[in-house]
Amino acid sequence: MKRVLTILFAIGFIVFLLAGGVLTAYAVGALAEEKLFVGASRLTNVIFLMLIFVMIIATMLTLAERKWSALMQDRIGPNRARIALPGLKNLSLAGLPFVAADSLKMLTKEDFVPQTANRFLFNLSPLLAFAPVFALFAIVPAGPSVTLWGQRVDMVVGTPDFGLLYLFAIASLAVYGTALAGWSSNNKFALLGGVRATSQMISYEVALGLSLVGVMLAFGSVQLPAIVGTLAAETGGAAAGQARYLWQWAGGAAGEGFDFGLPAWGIILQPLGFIGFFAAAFAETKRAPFDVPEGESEIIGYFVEYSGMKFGLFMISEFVEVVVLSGVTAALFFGGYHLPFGGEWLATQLKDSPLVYATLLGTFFWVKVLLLCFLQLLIRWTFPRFRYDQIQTLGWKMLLPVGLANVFISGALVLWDPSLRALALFGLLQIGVLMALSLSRKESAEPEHGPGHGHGALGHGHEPHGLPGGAHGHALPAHGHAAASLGGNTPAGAHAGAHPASTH
Amino acid sequence: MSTPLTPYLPLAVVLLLSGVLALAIPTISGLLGPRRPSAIKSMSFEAGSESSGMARQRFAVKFYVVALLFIVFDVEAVFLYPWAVNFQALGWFGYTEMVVFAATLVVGLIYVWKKGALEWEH
Amino acid sequence: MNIEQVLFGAFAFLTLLSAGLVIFARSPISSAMALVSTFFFLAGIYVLLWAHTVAALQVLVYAGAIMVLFLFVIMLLNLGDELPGSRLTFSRILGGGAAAGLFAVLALAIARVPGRVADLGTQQESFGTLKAIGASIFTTWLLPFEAVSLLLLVAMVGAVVVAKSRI
Repeated sequence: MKRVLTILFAIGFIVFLLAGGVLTAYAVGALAEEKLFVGASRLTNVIFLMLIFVMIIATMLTLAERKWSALMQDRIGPNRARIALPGLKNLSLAGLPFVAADSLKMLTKEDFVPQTANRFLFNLSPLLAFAPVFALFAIVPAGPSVTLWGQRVDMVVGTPDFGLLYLFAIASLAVYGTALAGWSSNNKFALLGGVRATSQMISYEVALGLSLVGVMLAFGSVQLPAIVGTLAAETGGAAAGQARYLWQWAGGAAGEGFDFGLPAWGIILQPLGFIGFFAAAFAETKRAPFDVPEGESEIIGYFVEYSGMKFGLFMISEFVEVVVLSGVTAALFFGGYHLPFGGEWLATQLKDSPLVYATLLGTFFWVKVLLLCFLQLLIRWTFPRFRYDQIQTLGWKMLLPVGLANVFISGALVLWDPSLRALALFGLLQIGVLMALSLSRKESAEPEHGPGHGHGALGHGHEPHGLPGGAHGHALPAHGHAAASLGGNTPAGAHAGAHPASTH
Repeated sequence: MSTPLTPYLPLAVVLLLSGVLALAIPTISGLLGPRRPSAIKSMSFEAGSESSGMARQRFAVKFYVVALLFIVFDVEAVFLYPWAVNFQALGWFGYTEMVVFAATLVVGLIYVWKKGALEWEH
Repeated sequence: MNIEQVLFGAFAFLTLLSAGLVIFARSPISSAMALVSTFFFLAGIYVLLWAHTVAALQVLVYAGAIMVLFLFVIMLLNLGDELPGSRLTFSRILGGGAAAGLFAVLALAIARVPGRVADLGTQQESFGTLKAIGASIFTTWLLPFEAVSLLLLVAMVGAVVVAKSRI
């Protein structure tokens, strides 16, 4: 009981902090518009959204990851760093002092460059890994546009015409950081990691772009604010984007009574697009189960030679990527800052207090982001690592053809029924089929799940189902490739020798 | 002072800021940290065993093929975005255009697949 | 001087600086990275010319995709920091000739531009947007668009044929 209360208190505290942050961001934005110049709120948004929200959440994720993995593995987790405050009885404070201790440690570590490395490129690559990832959040709208004290405040940094193309373009530059880190270190493991990382990132970049075309088709735009949409009560016109209902069962058009229905969220219209995007973006972050380039247990990765804050930059950019991915996913597939229902009603009730309204919805957006971050932590600590050939197979033979088919089927349905209801029915059907498949898959995979089962490099050829051509290459990660095998993790060249018994 | 370029100014600020931040963080760390180089420290780290020869070696040709395929499909995706924005206006005619375009590339994908360029298992 | 002119000056200087580095850098990898930054700053100039979409595509396709292949080839073929020799080979003469020809064509084209370029402020609001570009690709320039798919098909087949003996 005490534990439940503690957790509830922690969640409440986090939501309270988020709300405070959103409130301050709106208030300061409106003040800047009034006192400085028109458009100054965009610059305060840079500070609030990108430097404060994204960076603090990313920093806290370093702790959350350790704490959560400890919970999943039945450990206590980080609890040694303590601050002896007078009244606090030397508490571990849920590991919070670790964040300060870690960052201080990284800042004060010696920063050395291996003798054989290419000094300039070695110093350049952490920069190239961090800078593009940090800049990504600029196009994500984190709250509604409201008029505060006579000033229009948008909770977004940039609204370029090319919208999502900004995301793809800037994200594609992150490849250089990893590729150069691997190459310039002049270390065999680092180069191996760098080549794997580059190959993996470019393979999934294709799937990343393709899986979002369906969403663009459905909403007819590449701009995130347009895809998130606006309520009828906000604009006075009809609701648009994800703020409208596919089927509305209660409430009038403009806030007469509590409105209720099935919202036109991306997850309902494009479940396959969501899965493809999430998997591809996950591969771009290079976190487990896509962590072959890092492979802590055997090759360490492209940053093996890095020390101090340069390694820290690689690490923090991974966590920033997690936050950005959550933000983009929330905006594209989970209605952005909108409530699933009752949005029109709330907007009408709070018509005269825009600050409260904006704070509520902005907080709701960040809660969604935190939940999606949590989902990513869950995935990262649940699934074992993919082998390299599985990663390439998933990218090219699954996500690419499925993504292409999804684009054209969705396109036909959107043209056939512009109200998107046909697309939504198809999406619900997909969700149903996927659920049924994953349930039936579990049963059939259960007998193979025995404790002695392994895909070791040598045992591979003797397996009854170890057929040539990667018969298990399509298997779900839950299939049980416990630890990634040595043979599976060598890149193409050395791969042949690792399968002496296979028949191909 | 509002021109159609105004929405792009915050993006320029963001890109500049991210560069400055990425430059500042390691610089601060370099100033704060100690500097005690030694011969062993500056050797490349290969799990304790002495490293032999240069690390830079040639890699399997597959990686190049993947990079080339990536460019091809990236360019294809680039054509999909303006199509998606004009989708309703173009109607079934535009839909057919894109089907023809994509079908050509799907033929290519099938060819590449059958030739085994996507196989990493052997 | 308004802010656009300042930005143009900055982007133009950085573009030229990185382009110079492409030629004068000693290691091929540094050259490739300088080319990436050339493309990046060039995209900035495109934005100032109201060609936003072209700017995004410039970064997406050139800086983010084609240069990755360049980098891959240089990295994985293990090209060293070799200084170019002073011998005149056939390909060098050809390359020099091509560069001189391109320079002549560009110089002629620039010379023909009227002294006063139409004020950009009078352009339509939709100029350079993704929607406007899409509308013209899929109606006016339909045939070249479909021909691009054949070009891409050839590239795919070519990649496989060149690498076939090794796969």
